[in-house]
Amino acid sequence: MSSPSRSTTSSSEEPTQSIPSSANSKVSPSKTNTNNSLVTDHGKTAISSSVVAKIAGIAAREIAGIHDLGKSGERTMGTIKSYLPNSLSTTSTTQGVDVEVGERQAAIDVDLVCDYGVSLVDLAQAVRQNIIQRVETMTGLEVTEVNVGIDDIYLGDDSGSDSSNQ
Amino acid sequence: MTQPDPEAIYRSVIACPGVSQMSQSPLDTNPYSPGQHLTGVKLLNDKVELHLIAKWGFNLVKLGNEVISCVKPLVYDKEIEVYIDDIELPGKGDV
Repeated sequence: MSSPSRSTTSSSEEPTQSIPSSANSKVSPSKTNTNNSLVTDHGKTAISSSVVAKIAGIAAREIAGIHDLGKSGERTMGTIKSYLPNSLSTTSTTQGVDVEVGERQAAIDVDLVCDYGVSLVDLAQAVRQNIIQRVETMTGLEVTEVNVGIDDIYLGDDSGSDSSNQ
Repeated sequence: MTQPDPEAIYRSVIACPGVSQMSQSPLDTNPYSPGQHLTGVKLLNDKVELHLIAKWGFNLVKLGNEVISCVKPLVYDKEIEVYIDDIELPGKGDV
């Protein structure tokens, strides 16, 4: 069961390469004058990586067929935190999301647990499209890549949640 | 050269729609005047840094440009840098 899910994951599981600083200097001068640019004649706007991670996390969860985000260790910690009182009881929005943010570009890695029965190829594509659309619309950053890793498949009950044991 | 007024800058930024609050690290203090602690405004020699937390649902590019245009008349010739450090999540604030 795990083999189909592996075949649909993105080939690059390794950490995203940092965005070369030279890419920032290649933007044409005319782009800096537009009202939709992060760098203008009057000043510049910098967007933190935590902002991009939150937007990407929410965008990924919007797709039907996503059960959870994060690798197994993160999800375990999230479960433990959910038993703690109030302030720590919410699941972190950025769980399972890694981002690299430059001045004008962003690269995003996301790890998913999907529901059984959905097309993993379509799911990964939908997640990628939605993350790119949301991040580019809200932040103006160009999303260079979204690497989707499908970490597990959810079979509907607790005993079957870890497909690798079956 | 006339120095910008940090309190006027602070009030101008916080009044922009889409700005939830200013942000600042606990170690970073700006004692511009006695008894006053203005978070998120840094006056440097050649530029003004503004650190803020945005509300959910706003286009952050437009928000940054709007903050810059609001503050521009107050900083004389200094460059303005807007840092969006965090975003308030819909319905429950910051996580």
